Amino acid sequence: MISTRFFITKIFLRKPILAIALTALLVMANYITTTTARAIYSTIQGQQQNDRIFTKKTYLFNNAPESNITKETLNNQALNEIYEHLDRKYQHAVYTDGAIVEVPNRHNVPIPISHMNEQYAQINDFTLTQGKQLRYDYTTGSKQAIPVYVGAELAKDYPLGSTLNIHDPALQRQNKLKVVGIIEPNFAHSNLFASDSKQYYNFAIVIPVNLSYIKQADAAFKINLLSNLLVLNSDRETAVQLSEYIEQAIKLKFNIYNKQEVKDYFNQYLGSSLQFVTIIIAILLTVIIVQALLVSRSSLRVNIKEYTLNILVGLSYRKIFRIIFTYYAALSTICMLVVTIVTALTRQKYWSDKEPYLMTEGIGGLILIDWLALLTTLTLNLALTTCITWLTVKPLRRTPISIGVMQT
Amino acid sequence: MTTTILDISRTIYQRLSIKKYKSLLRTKERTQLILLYMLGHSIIFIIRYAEQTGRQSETIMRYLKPLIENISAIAILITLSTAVFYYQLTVRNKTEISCRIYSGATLKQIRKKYFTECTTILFICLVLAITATLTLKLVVTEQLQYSAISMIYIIAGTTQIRV
Repeated sequence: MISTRFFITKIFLRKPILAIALTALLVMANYITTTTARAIYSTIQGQQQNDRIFTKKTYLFNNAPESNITKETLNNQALNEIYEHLDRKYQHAVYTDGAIVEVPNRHNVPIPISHMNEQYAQINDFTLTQGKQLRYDYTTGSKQAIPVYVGAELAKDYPLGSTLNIHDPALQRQNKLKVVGIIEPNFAHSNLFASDSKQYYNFAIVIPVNLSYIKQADAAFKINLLSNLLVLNSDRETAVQLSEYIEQAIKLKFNIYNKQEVKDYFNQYLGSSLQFVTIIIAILLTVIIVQALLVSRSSLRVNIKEYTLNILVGLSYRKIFRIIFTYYAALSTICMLVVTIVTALTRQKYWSDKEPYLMTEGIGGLILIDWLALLTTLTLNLALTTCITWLTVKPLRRTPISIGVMQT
Repeated sequence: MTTTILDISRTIYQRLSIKKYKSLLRTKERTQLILLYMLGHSIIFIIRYAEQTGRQSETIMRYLKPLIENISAIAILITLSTAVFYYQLTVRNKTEISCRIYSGATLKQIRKKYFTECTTILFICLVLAITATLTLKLVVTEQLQYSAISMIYIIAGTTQIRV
């Protein structure tokens, strides 16, 4: 321990340029590894969610980009008929989010609202920490409050059993809601087409919808619901029939995707981009690591006299390995700390910007995927530190003590 | 015309006394220096190339944004490894320099030789990097910045050559 302290303070830190150059390179390597690892883990989570939602018989309806919303589309009567038709003949899951309401809360965050129906809850439900499942058999318009889920942060202001009044953007009127379940902290959904994206439900309100709710809602809300329609236990022929029926009724064209087509879409647009980013980062990482190794070789040449002198007076190679390892491990710990702080700061920025879908709970806002990414970086650091130490000690062993001592 | 150019270059060659005195750099060190410069340039090149290729893709730009925005800072940080190289070079060569002075060389000559050689290597690497960058129609600002900072290190290294 004493010798380690002696080496670090009297030998390594007397030439600060060596430490600074290596730290700069390691910080870069750590940062790019962490961000890329996080993107990869996020994508994997999104893919797992898609695997849960899609079976072989699931078809996703998505607004065709070339088809625009016209006056005929916003026909409330026709839309109601579509939903009745859906209710009679199809097992369908609908989900929408993005509407924002003003609900007083301790962070003054605008609260996003999500709507889902019973079938959607069956295939992709929210995980709860408290409370019970939503009920879908309520009657809209009665004095009875609608049962809802709230996010973990919002639950601090509106605990289980409390009621809240909101101006429901779908119904365009005041609505009374009752909290029956609290969503797990940092629970997230990914966009079905963009598995790497994430939205966190720490501040969200989830409202269950049934046919009567949908019928009373405005036309824009109905179209929003339709553009994420999932038809379950069906086949392509039936799905095509349905899309033709909808097109005839409201003059809006829908594209149909099954599991494989969603995957293909992802691979074509996002997968290839992510692959490109990963390759670029891997090349950069290799280049940076080679530079770091060259720097450590240069540092060895500067310090070779000190090393050999200490070996001459009785320090063993094993001990010198341990000392050098401690030094480089300390350097990479500093780099890890820097990267952790930077990651936490990016998470904190969402809190100061008040972006409800991106605000996360945890130490410094860091969540599971961040910690996993940092763990990956830690593994890389350990490997790199061992490698650098080994590359320093190996030539040191080959240098005869007499020559090493003579070096200036 | 050709003979005059040859004559001039020969005079410059002799004036710089390239042949007369052995360089401070060994072949191994020269290779290492070239490698360091090429690695530094390639980092900048890769980032710029990724930016150009991925400009259409929102995803690529989102992930590479921190690198592209801080490319100047990255260029400065990676020059530090060349600084380390020059530092170890001057530290190691102290005895050799005094020995050379004992055997008749002057400090000025050693410095001149060292400076010319380092600058030549830097310039060759820069030309190679710029050629590659311009072939792909990328921005060369950071490559120039990187070389300019390395030039400062060379000058600083040259002044450090003393007995």
